[in-house]
Amino acid sequence: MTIEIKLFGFGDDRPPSFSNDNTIRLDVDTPTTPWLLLRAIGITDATGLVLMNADQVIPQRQWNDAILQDFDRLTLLSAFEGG
Amino acid sequence: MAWQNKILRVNLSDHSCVTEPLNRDWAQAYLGQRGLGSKYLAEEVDPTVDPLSPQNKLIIATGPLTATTAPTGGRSSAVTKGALTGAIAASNTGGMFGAELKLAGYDLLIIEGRAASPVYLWIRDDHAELRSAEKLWGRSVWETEPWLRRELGEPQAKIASIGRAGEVGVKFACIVNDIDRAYGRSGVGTVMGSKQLKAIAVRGTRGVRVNDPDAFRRAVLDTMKILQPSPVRKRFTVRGTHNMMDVTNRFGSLPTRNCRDVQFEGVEAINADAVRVRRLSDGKPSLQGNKACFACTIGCGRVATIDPVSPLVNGPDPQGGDRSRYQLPSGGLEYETAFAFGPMCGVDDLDTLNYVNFLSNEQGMDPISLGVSIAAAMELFEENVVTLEDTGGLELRFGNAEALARAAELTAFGEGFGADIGLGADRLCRKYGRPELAMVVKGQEFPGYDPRALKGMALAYATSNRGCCHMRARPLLDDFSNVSTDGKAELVKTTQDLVGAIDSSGTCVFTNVMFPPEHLAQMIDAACEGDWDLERLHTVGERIWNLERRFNLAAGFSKDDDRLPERTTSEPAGAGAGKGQIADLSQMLGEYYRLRGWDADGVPLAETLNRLEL
Repeated sequence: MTIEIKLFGFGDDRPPSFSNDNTIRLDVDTPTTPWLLLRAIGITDATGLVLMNADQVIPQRQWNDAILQDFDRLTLLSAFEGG
Repeated sequence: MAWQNKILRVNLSDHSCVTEPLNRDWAQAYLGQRGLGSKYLAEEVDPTVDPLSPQNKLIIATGPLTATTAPTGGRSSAVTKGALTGAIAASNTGGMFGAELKLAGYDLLIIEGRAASPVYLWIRDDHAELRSAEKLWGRSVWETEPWLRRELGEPQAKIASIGRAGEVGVKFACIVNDIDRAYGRSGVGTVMGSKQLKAIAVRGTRGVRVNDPDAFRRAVLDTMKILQPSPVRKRFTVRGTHNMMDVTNRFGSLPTRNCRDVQFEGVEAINADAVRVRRLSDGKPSLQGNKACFACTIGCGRVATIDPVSPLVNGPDPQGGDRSRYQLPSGGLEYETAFAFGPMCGVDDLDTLNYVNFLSNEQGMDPISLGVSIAAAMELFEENVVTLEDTGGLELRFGNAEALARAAELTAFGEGFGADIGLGADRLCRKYGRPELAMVVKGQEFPGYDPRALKGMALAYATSNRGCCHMRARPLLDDFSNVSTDGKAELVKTTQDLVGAIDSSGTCVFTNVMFPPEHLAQMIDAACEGDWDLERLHTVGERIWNLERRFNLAAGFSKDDDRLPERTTSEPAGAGAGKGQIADLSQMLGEYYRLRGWDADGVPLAETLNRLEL
């Protein structure tokens, strides 16, 4: 299945798998969870990360449980308490 | 130790400058800066006083860590009864000015009365005097600072001053220090202007003694070991607070067109990437670099330029001078300035945003309140409540960059329709019979976080003692991952207390996401007498919050003022994580009052006041 991930707020700190683009499309063989997917693209620290599926936030406590679907469009926000 | 144990009291009415010892019991109970300044204000000023009367006082307060080597130890606060809100105000600045005041030997500067004619205050260590500012009145901040250094023969003097906005009574005038840092919110510059005090210049050549130098050095180094490699610290350094814009926009919490919308289609033209795009005219980006305040290794401040071929920096300015000064690099867009002049006004022209930001620094206006007040004026115009006749021919429509720039100019000088904008959004909308169009809490304009999706921020806005504020609590990270009201009352209460302590320490609240607050407690414990730990800091913060609350209640505020604008509580968000949702305080507010130890009317119970020794 194909899942799109789009980054916001990372600046130049985007994971290497994204090259210089803020969007990546992944072909995944089996149903997967958000955390497995994020680890696959090189993210190991979830601090300050917010994951949305379309407009729905997936809380971090569900990252090991939620099952992603074919053609899901994920957004990953790098958020911090700013001014 | 860490405190200088000395206050400078300046009476503008009789031209006296006298020193007195710091009340050390109060310092132990309120720490410094916002807390200690608020304690002195509450003890010395009748809460019902007119903010612009001589009976109001303006207190510049440093913290025990100000001017030390503690990371970000350069903060100070301006405490007064706010001209914009009528509530207790404590506006926090960085730069170098606060540290210089501390190095001159003072914890607090208390300014009272009103001068018969414009004056400035000159402090050089033990020497303090008031001098005529007749030549400076009418001058901008950018003219005042170099003029004073030349006049005083002190190139190292640090200066805080008001621009034209503070002189003409713009309700959200700020006090600008070090050219582009500011005691920004609530109209503290308006109070300074009402006292005919144009500027404070200070040169300090003393040090600050800490209680246990070895322990303090260790505590600072331990903190730096966490701060420096922090990825959040790095993000602040490289991207600045401006980085937030993409996040809030995607999340659906970016206030747009006076909160009609929560996402802005023009964001890519004005975000933290846009300022890095090289211009065709000179091959340079708008962003020139970053800069830091005293003792700060983060350096979130931006330095920017405007396109040199822009008409905003060429030709004559409205006052008959020329615009070439705007071609020089100066303080750049932070997230809040970018939001207020950009999405909130529907404007996606980067040069205009930078120009209005420069103008805010030059003439001393709070950019959040300015942008949100202009946004309110734009909606009044689009609703045909305000006409071309009212605006002097200005097409004040959302998205009109030229109108934004001109409205800001008129506001800074109190001219034409700018005098109405200078009332602030609340008074402006009331004047024209549409109070519901003012995006304010307790008379103070919204920062850049729409509260419909951000549930904790909704409660933080409603309960902020100084009027709407995003810096008085820290629920944001939880808000982004938890679009629910569950647990928010406790989170807001706890972080309000913690922020109260940080705001009183002399350090920057941004550090709370870069190192654990236990490190702040360790630095304070090493620097100050008395045993300090995190629990005590929370108690100090809670005491400050209740002191501020009691001041506001005595000033006439009530639970009815702990509310959000009708738009956010009745019109659902149209997109993003909060799509279809409104800001709903009904459950959170009651729980918050209970957690605070207040009654159902939001009044602190006697047992709460006793526990906090208030």
